[in-house]
Order: sequence, then C-alpha cells, then structure tokens
Amino acid sequence: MLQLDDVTRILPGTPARVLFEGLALRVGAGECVAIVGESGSGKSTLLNCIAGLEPVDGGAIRVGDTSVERLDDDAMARLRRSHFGFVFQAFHILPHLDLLQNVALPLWLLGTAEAEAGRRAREMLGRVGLGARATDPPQQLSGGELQRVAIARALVHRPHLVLADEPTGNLDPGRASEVLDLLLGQIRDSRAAGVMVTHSRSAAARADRVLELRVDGLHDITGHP
Amino acid sequence: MSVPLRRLFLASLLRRRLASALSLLAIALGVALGLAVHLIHGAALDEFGRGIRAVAGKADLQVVGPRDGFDEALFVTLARRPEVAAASPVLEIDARLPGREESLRILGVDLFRVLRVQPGLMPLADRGGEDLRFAALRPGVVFLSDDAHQRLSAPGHSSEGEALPPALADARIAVQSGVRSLVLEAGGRVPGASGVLGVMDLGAAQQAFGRIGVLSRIDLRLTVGVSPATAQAALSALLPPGIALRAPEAAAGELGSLSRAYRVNLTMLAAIALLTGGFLVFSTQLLSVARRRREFALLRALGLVRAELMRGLLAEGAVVGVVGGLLGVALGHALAAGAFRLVGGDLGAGFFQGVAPQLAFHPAASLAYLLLGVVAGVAGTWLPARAAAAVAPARALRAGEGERAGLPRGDGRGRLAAAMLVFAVLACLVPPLGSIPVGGYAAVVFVLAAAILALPVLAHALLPLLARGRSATWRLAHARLAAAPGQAVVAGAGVIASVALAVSMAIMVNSFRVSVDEWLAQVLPADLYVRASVASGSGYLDPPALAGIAATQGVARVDTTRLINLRLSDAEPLFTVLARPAQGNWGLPLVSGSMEPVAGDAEGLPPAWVSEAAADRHDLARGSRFELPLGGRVQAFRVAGVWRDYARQHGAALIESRDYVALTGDDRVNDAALLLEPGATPAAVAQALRERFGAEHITIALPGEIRAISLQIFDRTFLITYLMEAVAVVIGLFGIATTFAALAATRQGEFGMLRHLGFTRAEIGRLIATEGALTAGLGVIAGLAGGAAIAWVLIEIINRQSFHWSMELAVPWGGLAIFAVSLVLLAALVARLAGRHAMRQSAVLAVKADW
Repeated sequence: MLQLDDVTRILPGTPARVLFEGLALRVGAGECVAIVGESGSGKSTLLNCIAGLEPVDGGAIRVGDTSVERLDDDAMARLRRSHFGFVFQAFHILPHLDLLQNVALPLWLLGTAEAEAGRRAREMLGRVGLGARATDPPQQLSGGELQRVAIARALVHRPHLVLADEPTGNLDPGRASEVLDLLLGQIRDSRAAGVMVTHSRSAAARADRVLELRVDGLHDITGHP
Repeated sequence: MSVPLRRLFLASLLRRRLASALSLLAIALGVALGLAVHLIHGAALDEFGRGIRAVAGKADLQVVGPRDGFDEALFVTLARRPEVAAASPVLEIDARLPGREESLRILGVDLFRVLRVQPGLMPLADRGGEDLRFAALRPGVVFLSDDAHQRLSAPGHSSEGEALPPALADARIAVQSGVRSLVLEAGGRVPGASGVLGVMDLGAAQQAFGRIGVLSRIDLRLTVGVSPATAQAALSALLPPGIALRAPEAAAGELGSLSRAYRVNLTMLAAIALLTGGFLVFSTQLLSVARRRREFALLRALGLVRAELMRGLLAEGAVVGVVGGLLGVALGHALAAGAFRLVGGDLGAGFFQGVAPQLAFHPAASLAYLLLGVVAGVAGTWLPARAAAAVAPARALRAGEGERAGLPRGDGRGRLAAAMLVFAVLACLVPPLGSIPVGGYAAVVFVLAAAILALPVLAHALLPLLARGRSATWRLAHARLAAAPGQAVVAGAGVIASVALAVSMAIMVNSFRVSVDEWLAQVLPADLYVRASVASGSGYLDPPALAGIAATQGVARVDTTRLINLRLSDAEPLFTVLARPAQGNWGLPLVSGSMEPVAGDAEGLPPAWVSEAAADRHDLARGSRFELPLGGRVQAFRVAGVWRDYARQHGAALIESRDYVALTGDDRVNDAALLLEPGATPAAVAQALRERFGAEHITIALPGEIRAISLQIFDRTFLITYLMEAVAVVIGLFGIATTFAALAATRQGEFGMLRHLGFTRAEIGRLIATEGALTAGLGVIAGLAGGAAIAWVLIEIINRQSFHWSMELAVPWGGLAIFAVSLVLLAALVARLAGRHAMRQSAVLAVKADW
C-alpha cells in the first residue's frame, strides 16, 4: 500500500544537514506502523514527505500505484483527498461546522452526493461512539472526543493510507489509551495502511511494528522498547 | 498607564499595517470630504460678502426691491428724512454682451453722492486734464473695475463656445439694450471696486438701458447717533409694498440660505463617508481584539486593570482618528483647492457664478473636523474595547479558544432593528427646522442602523436557501457564515452603509432626472424659443420686437413670458412671477388644482398658479388668497392650481399676462414661445429671426436643445455626489479587505488542515472569495433594502423640505443590478487578495500552530 525506497531528505541551509537518507519502508493494507525517534530526528518531516507536503531529495515514494514525488501540487492535493487520511496532534476540527459536517468534509471534497455523505459520516460517527451528538458544535466536546471526531474524519472516505502525527500528544494517559485503541482498530477494520509518529513508547507498542528513525534509516525495534 | 505598556498597545497598530492604513484612509476621506465642502462654500460666501461690502461702502442700510427696480420718487422721500445723513441711488444692470457668454454688471450711480456713501465706487478718468465729473456725465461712458478690465481685455467665447476677440477693444465695449447693441466708451477705472463691474452715471445708465425713473437700490448712511434699528423702524413705514430696508450684509446671508440646503446635503454625504470610516475602525479593532484575546488575558492575569485595558484600546482608536483626521484636514484643503480650479466655488450647482473665491486656512473648522475624525476613531473602538475588557482571563487563556470567541454572536438584534425602523418612521413626521429637514436626516441614520442590525437576521433567513448541492468550497463558506453571522456584520457594516448611500442617491437622482425630463417636455411645448436676456438682464423684447417676430414668415403664433423677481419679505430670497397667457394655452405641469380659475370668487380676484415651493412656503392650495407686491402696491390673487417647478427653488407664481400689464403697465417680455405654421422648419424660422434682429441680440433655442442643456446642467450638479458615493463604496470595500486580511491571518491553521485533506491552493482561494462574495452579498441585499427606504426618505421628506420639489419614483433597475453584482464580484476579489498572504503560509507550519 505504501512503499518507500532509498528516500533522502536534506535540510537546506549552510551547511545543509542530512536529516535522513537511504530510508526504506513497506506498509501493507490493515497494517499499522509506529515511528519513534528523538526530537528533531525528522519524524514529522517524513510524514510530510509521504503526504507530498514537503519535497524529498532522493528516492521514491509510492502510494498504491502512484509515485508521489512525480506529482505537481494540485495532483498531489487530489491524491491526498482520495487516498489519505490525517490525524493531527491539535485535532483541527473546524469550529463553525457541526460534528457531522466536520466528518463529512472529505466526502464533500470528493463530490459525494449530499445524502450519501451524510449517511456515511453519521455511520462513521457511530463507529467512534459519537453517533448521538452528530449536530453538536465542536465547542461542547472534550479533547478526547475531538480526537475521535478527527479519527472519524480521517477514515470516512475509506483512504488507503492514514497518517497520524502525535495523535495522543494533547491527551491525558487514560484518554490517550482509549483514542489509540480506536484509531488502530479502525485502521485495521478498514484495511488501510497506517503510519503513526509518536514520542510515546507505550503508544508505539500498540502498533504492529515499531520503527526508530535515525539519520541512516528506519530500524525495527518492535518488542525492544 | 506606563510608557512601555502604552507602546505595547500602539505597536499593535503597526503590526497590522494594512488594516491600520485603510482605517486611517477611510477616516481621512470622510474628514476631507466634509471639510472640503465646508471650505469651498465658506470661501465662496466670504468672497461674495466682500464684494457686497465693497460695493455698499459705508452704507448702514440698503433699500432693496424687486430685481426690475422701483420708482425713484422714493429716493427723494428718504433723502429728506432726518435719520438719513446721505443717500445714494443705484441702478443695477446685468448688461448682456451681445453674442457672448459673459455679462457685465453695471452700476448707475449719482456721482455727486457716491463719494459720501460708497467711496469705493468713485471712478477715475483716464484722460488727464478733463474734469472727472464732466467725463463721467457724458452719456455712453463707463468706468471699469480692474477685474473687469482684465477679464474683458482677454479673448472671450460665444454662448456656443466659439472663441471671440476681447469684448473690450480700443477702449470701447458693446452691450445689449433691448434687442439692440449699444457701444460704451471705457472712460477710466474704478480703483476701489472688486469683481467684474462697471460704473456709469445714473441718468446715463437709465437712459441707455431704457429704465428712466427706475432705481434698483438706495444706499443710506445714517445720521450720527441714529442706530440702524431705530432708522429701520422709522423708515419702513414709508416704503411701498415689495420694498425692504436691510443691512448690506443681509445679501450674503440670503445667498447663504439659497445654497444652504445643497450644502447640508453634501455635508450629509460626507458624514456618511465618515460613518463608513467609523465602521471600518470598528471592524478592524474588533478583529484585532479577537486575535489578541490571549495577550489581553495574560496581561490581565499579570495584573492589568480592566479600565487600563479599555483605555489602551481606546487610545489605539484615538491615534487612528488623530492621524486620519490630520491627513483628512490636509486632503480637505487640497480637495477644496482642486475644486476651485475645476468647478468653481459652487460645487457645480450654479449658486456662486462670477465669484472667484480664495482658499484660506480656517483653524476652527479644521480643528472641528479633526475632532470628528478622533470621535470616529474612538467610537469605532468603544464596543470592541468594552468586549475585550469584559472577558474573563482564565477562559481566554484556555487552549482551543478560537478567534471566533471574540466576535459578536450577532443574534437577537431583530427586535432592535424593528425599533429603529419605528424611530425612522417617527422621525419622518418631525417638521423641518428652518429649511433643514432634521427629521429626515435622523430617519436616514435610523434606517442605516436598522439595516446593519438586521444583517444577522437576514443571514439566518437567507443562508438556508443557499445550503444545498454545491461544492465543498461553497458548503464550507456557507457553513462558516451561517455559524458566525457576527462576522458578516463586522465585514459588512461598512458595505451596508456605503451601498445604502449609493443606492438611495441613485434612486433619488434617477427619479429626479426622469421627473425633470418629463417636466421639461411639459414646460417646453413650443417649436422654438426666443429670448433676449435673463430675467434681470438688459435685453428684453418690447412690443415692436414682438410684432417683428409675429410677422416673420413661418410663425403661426407667439406666446410671451415676462419674468419678474419680487421681494415678498425682508428675510426671504427673491420670488419669481411669470406673466404669460395661461388659460386656453399650453398648460402647466399641475400637481393639484386646475387651469380653470376658481368659480364664483366673491372678491373677483385674478387667478394665479403657484409652484410647489410657493405652496409649501406660504401654505397655499386651490382657492387660497395670495398677495403679490406688483407695480408698487399689493395685489391679491386667487390660487387656481399648484404646479411643479424645478427651475425656481424659492417659489414662483404664474399670472395672466393681461393681468400683469393692467397692474403694472409694463409690456416688455423676456421670452417668446413660437408655434410654427405647418411646413415651416425651425431652422428656417430661426435664420429669418437672426437676420431681422442680428444674431448676437437674441438667443434662439429648440426645445430639444434646452432639454439637452438642462439635463447636462443637472448631471453636472450631481457629479460631485457621484464622486462622494464612489468614495463611500471604496471605503466599504476597504472593510471587506481588512476583515478578510485579519480573519485569514487567524485561520492559517484551518487552511493548513484543509490543504492536508486535499484542498488545492486554488480551492482555498475560491473558499475565501466565496466567503467574501457571500458576506458582501448579504451586505448588498441589506444595503439595497436600506437604500430603497432612504431613497423614499430623500424623495418624500428631505427633498420636499429642503427644495420643495416633488418627483415620481423611478428605480434604475438595470443600473442597480449591475452595481450590486459588480460589488459582490469586487468583494470576492478583494477578499481573495486580502487572504493571499495567509494562503502562502506552508500547510506544514500552519497545522503546527495551536489554534
């Protein structure tokens, strides 16, 4: 589903700094990979490179049958709307939309018919346990609840790949565990590939594989926290 | 408040440079427009007053009568009175220069008396050696002021605009008397006089212009110890009807009242531009306060007192007001200077023709307008500052409080809007103060307030209609506006005010123009018009001339009009009487009554048809009794009808020619309206008339030409209002620009997230443009509704009370539709440009920000 070959990223500046090089990764459908590493090691940059929001300085990234690094800005945006789902640390739920509309947003972008979009968003909200609050404004929700909405939004359009950047970074440990269960469960259920960047070793341990990012590439540390 | 703290507040103005600059500019424009109108009118009135004082000299009182003059016997009566130390008779002639656009004001004075009362008018002979008085007493000699010398020695132009050689050549100048030319010799100078004028011996002037035994004015110097009030009380009883005794300065006051309504209207437009500027300050301050909620909460948590926070924010508004006001004062002077050069001191309305005003710095007026700018700045900041001071610091410091938390929710104002409309209706019932329609202006303000308050209600009502089946950008823009109608109020308030202003003026001006056009068609029914001069001028058509016109081949019928300007009271401007055959003729544009005289009049009074202005001012209707001072006595008339007259703002009455001639013995006329025989062409008849009288002595016009010229003058008069409207609309668009620039800056996180979800940059641009268009669209709809209501107030209340003109409502649908659509598109473009900066921000960085 996601395939990285020999990916290199050099940070511009004088002198230029190699953030990582020769990086390789394969993530299959229904599989969830956690990436850990020290602050500044380039975890978030790697996610951005996969999403086409930052350029790579070498190597190839394929999502399904598409080579990401060859696409222009607009084509990449269209690929993201159909193939990608995102979960952010700061939730990014739009305050002027109700929960149902927030979840339906990716479907609006894909031009899904109104009734169909509503039905699927409602179903997705039900799956994250917020089915009864579809028309509530986001202001009434707690942080954990907001992240559930974000998870519903990330999966409602059945993406091939879900990218999560510190999804539990703004949550207390109890809520974090709940949200993580939900995120990983939903990724597996929908047969998407998942890549999660996190600081938290305990969060990483819930993934199928744990990889540590270093300058010379990704190192599998599954089972060796 | 400490200096560093003060700096903290003021630095915020510098941080948002675009918004601060646009607010400044908006206030500056409002201040500049208002001050310019004030300066231009003030300078024109000053100059006019100076001219009056120079001509009146040492006179304490002036006897004035109808424009056409009065019997000189009055002079002897007054000169003998003990209250009068010296009396100087004056005959004033507006001498037409044959075939030319210009005219020359000639004062016929008694050279033996003028020195004692008006020394400034004392002539100086050119030829040394010859006794001045003998030179002046020779018939056909005129003495010219330096201004007249200069003006008349320069090449002139004809009424058709062709270039002509100087009117004054070889010390000779041709003037018109009746339908003949008269060559006057320029015998010398009048060093003490200003303005374009000539001085002649009284007897010579009376003879030259066929006004033997007639005076226009008597200037009086009172005996030492006699006050003007005492003299006025003693002498007034001696005056025949229609003749008044007043201080020389009163003429300037009369002119001031003539142009007052026009000036107040323009000042009102400037005030609305300033109000729009105030709204702009409100929008930008509100958004800025919303953005700085956390900063304020932190300061409050650290110990800043509520009042200090409020003061700091008000100081920001005051700084914008002061700088904008200073800029406005400078710009106002520049605008006034430019206007003097381009359109003269009358702002295109024709009140001060022939006056060459000088621009002067007025400290008091400048300070007053500067203060208005400060008031706009502080008033615009008041509500946002209060809202900021009221926020609980703990809540504002919490993460996740978006920019929206600081914006007004914008609901629950429907009732207040309805109350404002009720106030507007009540204000319309208030009678005018003087001739200023204060109630009408108050109604305009209430309607504007109602339109702005109703905007959220309008958003609630209209947005659901636009909710379905559109693209993601449309749905997002729609959802944002539906969830935060307060944002529409913030961005749209300026749009509403400026659109309402522009729409109301457009509807009013269009109604006025259509009505004037129809009116011209009604009052100009003849095939051809012949005129010798304007009402007070030196040219006229006498019976032999009329016989000549009637005998011209192709002329079937000649109808004549005599125009006389009368004085009904000391305080009022001149009243016009038109004497012409009324019944069984071409009729009048009647608004009430009929062309038939009132039947069974016990007093047997002759009929009169009065204009709307006369009916309003003197409370007249069909059957009313109305007195006019004609031929030195008071003559009563019975009003038969009221007609629409756009030409004379201060009232007019039409009476039968035969009644006028019987009452006054005056059989001269100013205008002749010709009906041609079948087959005769106007061009051929005009040519025959020119050959008979000399082309330079008469003006011949076709109704079509008069209509075209009249409408051209009409458009020129309203040009300045169009310019002011354009300024207000631009300020309204500034509001959209600053709001969207500020909002876009706070929404970088949102845009970054949308880019992650797969929005292209173009789609984000479309989203901002759509929001701009929707916001402006709501503002435009509210503005159109408000504008229509204001147009009604302008037509039915303000114009009726200021100018006494009624008109038929004519809405320029096509023009308004184009205006509305263009404004919405322009708003979309402006919002898109304003949001450009936020869109450039990297999506990656944007989602990092905790918002």
